[in-house]
Amino acid sequence: MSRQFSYPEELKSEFIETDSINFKDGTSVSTSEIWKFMTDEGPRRFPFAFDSSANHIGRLSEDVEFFSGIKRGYLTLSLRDRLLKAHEKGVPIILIQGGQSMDPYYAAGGIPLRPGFVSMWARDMKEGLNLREADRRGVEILESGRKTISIEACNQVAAHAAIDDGIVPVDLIAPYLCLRCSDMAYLVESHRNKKGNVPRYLVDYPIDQKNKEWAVDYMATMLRTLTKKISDISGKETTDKDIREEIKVENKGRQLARELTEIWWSAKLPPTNSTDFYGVPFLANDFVGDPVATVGVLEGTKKEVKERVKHSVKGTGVAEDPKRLYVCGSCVGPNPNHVEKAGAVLVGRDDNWSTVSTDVKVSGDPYENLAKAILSFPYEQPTEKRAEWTAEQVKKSRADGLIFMYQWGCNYQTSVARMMADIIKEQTGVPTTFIEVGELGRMEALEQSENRVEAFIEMLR
Amino acid sequence: MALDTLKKIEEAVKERPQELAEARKNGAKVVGWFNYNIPEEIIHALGLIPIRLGIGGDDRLVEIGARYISTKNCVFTREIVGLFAENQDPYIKNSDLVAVDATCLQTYRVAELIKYYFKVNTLILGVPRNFYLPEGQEYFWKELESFTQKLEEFAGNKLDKNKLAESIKLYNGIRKALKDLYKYQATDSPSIKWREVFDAVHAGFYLDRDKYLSLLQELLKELKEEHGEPVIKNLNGDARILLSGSIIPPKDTKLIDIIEQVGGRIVGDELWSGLNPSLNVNIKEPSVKGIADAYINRVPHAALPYLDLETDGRLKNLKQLIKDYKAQGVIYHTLRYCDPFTFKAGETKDVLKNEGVPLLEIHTEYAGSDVEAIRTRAEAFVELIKNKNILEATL
Amino acid sequence: MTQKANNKPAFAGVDVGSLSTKSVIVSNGTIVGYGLIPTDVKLGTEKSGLTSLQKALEVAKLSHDDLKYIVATGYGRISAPYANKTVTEITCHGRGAHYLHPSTRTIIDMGGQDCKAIRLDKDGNVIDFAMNDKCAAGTGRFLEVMANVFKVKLDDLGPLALKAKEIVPMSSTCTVFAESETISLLARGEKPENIIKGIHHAIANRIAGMFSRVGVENDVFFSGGVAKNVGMKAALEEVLKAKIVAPEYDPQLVGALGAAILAKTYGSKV
Repeated sequence: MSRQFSYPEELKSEFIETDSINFKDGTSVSTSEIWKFMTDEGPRRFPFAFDSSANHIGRLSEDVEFFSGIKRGYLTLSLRDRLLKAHEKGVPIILIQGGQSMDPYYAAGGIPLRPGFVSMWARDMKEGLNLREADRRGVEILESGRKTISIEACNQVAAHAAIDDGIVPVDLIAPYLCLRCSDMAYLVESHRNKKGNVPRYLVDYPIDQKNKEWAVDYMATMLRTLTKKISDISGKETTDKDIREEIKVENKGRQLARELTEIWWSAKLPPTNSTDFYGVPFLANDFVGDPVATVGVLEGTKKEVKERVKHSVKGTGVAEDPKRLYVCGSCVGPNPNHVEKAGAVLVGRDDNWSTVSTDVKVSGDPYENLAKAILSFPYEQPTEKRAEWTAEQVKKSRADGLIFMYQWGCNYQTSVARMMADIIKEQTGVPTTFIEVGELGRMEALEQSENRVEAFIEMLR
Repeated sequence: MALDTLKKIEEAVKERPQELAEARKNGAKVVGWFNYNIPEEIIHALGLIPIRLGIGGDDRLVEIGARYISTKNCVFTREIVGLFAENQDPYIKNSDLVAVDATCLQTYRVAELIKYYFKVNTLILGVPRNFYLPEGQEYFWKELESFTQKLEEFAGNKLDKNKLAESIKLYNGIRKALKDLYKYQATDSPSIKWREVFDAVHAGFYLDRDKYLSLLQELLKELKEEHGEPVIKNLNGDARILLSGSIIPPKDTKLIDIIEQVGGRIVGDELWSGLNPSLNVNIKEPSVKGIADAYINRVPHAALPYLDLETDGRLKNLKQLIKDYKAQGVIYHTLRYCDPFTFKAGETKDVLKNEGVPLLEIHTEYAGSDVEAIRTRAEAFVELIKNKNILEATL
Repeated sequence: MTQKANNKPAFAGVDVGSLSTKSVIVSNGTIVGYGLIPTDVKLGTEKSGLTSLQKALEVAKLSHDDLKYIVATGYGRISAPYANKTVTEITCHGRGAHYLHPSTRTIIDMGGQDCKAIRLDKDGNVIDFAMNDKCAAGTGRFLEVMANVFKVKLDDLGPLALKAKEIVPMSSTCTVFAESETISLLARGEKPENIIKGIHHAIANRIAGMFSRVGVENDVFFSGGVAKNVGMKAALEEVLKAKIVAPEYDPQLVGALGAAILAKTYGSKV
């Protein structure tokens, strides 16, 4: 039933001409090595990613001529190896929240991973899995978490189970407790009753605190403690200068993502498909384990997008007159392949876009600057303000419709789904809907969610 | 034997809505509040009338509320939204300002929704998750200062130190009286049942606080005359149960009714609508800081995560209450979608297992469709405890 | 399983469930009669109980007056005025399982609409239990719905699951959602037996959640209507990593049997 997809050999010579990827630790990988991995090693070790028989999440983009997409795919598939290598060298691996910023973690010499990446890493520890097997493995890890905690937990419980079951070596669990996530605090807490007893720390997120001095102080103090805890594990002291340098790199990534997004939005025809465009904030917020590498790929992405817009190139798989969908809600999104086939294109997502939209000031006390930036994430503001910001993005992206999507178990997002949809509809006039999904961590999208998304797209058409 | 004062308290509660409406006509201002860490002492000292809001058990209001919040939020929050949507409840109608603290973040969302959809005048008090760290405590103090300033603006006067000292004395008196009542209900052949004490706690959400304290003291006097000092033993083979878990607000009687019907005796609770708010409140000075420190250091609510099992204050308190009330089992009530309590059910059970205390989790909502299912579980648990008592007695 | 009754005192247990009503009569330490009928909603739970009891009496060649003590259990126990005492089916299942298989320490009881995890000590006393939460996904109901989708008899689901060479992971958070998932999977060409195996695993995962609360200790005893399903037994063994004792009796009768044993205990004191 599976259908293996492979990159056409004729593209190889052109691909080789593009930039190699440089990593934070000074190593680099050449384009020929990347090509070899994506055509030989990758399909052997991770066959599910190359299966084009189904609309599954994590499927590689069919737009094979979009070379930055291939590089992003490479970074994603090589994450497992890079993490194991780093861990062996004593680099602390840290579980954090989805969509939060990462500057202090990288500055302190650690590698922060959102729950989705930890689950993915756990899945990839077993190689050679086809699509069905990969999905099944993911579900087994998920169910292990649900058994110990509760069926009402959001699917990120899989990441915690992966750590507890010893599938992946995580050294510290230390997320920001952003207001977006109802489960994170209690899932971190649950490790206190587990055999692994993984070190843990919470960077609290005081509410409605954009202008309050004492909130900034509180957060700055916690960020200092955070970097100290990471330094204690890595054995590398973190100076203010280290933090400023990291902020510069990450600001660069954020800026590139914003610039290329503006260009993408300005185009009459979407220059890339949803899979590739949706991947941009993951590069600029999550950095797939390496900010230096992903900033490099973002530079390449911007160049390619610019070129395509200049020559009115449309992304492969995008419909002739696609409806433009903006997604907001919790850390989930509709299956990009399915959306494309249904005649729409994904033009944005608020979760990590909010972090990408917020630069950190470089001069001055870096902890205070980080605190101020974090406390001003648009996604974390009181719902009325968050909705206003989202409405602005809907207008900028010229979206035809908005889906508020939330994951099963996500109490905080679902509580504001209607309010967000009402305000955005009022301010933009664009049709809005909210959908609950169970996708996170699953490979194959569930029929009910696809059905609802498709019906909404049909309505827009 | 019905105690006279209990009847008086019941009457006073019946008359309270009318009393409030009249007080407001004469210029008084009412601050309704919900969640767990709003210090009433400050509200009271400013001459404002505090009322603790939030009731449960009404599936119809839950359904209405779910249209604004969602069906994936706990029924308590849904019912609160339903109450504001309908605006028939006398305490909701008589609240001039609604204060909400951020202990439980689902409830924080409720505050946003009622402001947006029903134009309710709301005021938020932030609560730190890192409540046990010095920086968290400092944050809470500053938050409370800011909150107090806004209350002062609303009240039209400044917080006076002497008035605050008086209010603190009043509330300390109320807390002590409630703790004493809890002792009486746990004795063998008590003149007052746990349920009557629980209802008396709820009366305190509504009544004028000075009047409430004198009623409580009257009640204690009645009990002392009958019983002397309360001594808690465990002589008559009851299945002694401590009730713990998610909030059981006024009017949510389903589980309590069932436990009584199947022969369980509730001898205490660890609920935030019962005993917990009265525990460990040590206000060292009549100032905002004194109150902030006292509130942030009392028994922590499960919604505030705590990362170390050995030193967890909530579990310590639970174990202590089991000892104090000589409970033989815990019924751990969790509301669907109440993560703070639901996620910790397994852990709490493990901890109590080490103490030899069985725990039954009852996971429920306000709909009546699971009454028989709960009955079976509660009854089986009572059977288990009674059997255990028999086995231990023969050893 | 039965023996002709003599003049020793007889004790009865009646288990009035939502789908079926079961009765067992014990005398002189052995089972002398049993009856199993579908619970008749029109007739009412009281009459259903009495009817199944009558069937058991016929098998035992006894009359109602020969019964010294009757214990009623199950959801319908609240309307059993003919019973001397009512006891929950948890305690009764514990007694019944212990009688049939004294080395039972863990019971999985799966009925049409609920599911129980019961832990026993060596004497058959219940030391811990857990039951499913408000949700069909961990009950026999899920299987009934699926049998309907595949247009097979409920009894055929288990053997079909054993034929599967692969498992299709299924939604375990909602029976209704799983139903529509099934239909799309069939449309996409997935093999029915693979989907059915996935359903059994989804249910087993929900049950495993209950067991994480009470723990699993050998021997594990499977009772309730679903215990006849070989596919469910296999799925549970895999997910719980335990060996399940093969039922040699009708697993639906365990509750009534336990009630009868309790009737003997209480009745002998009288």
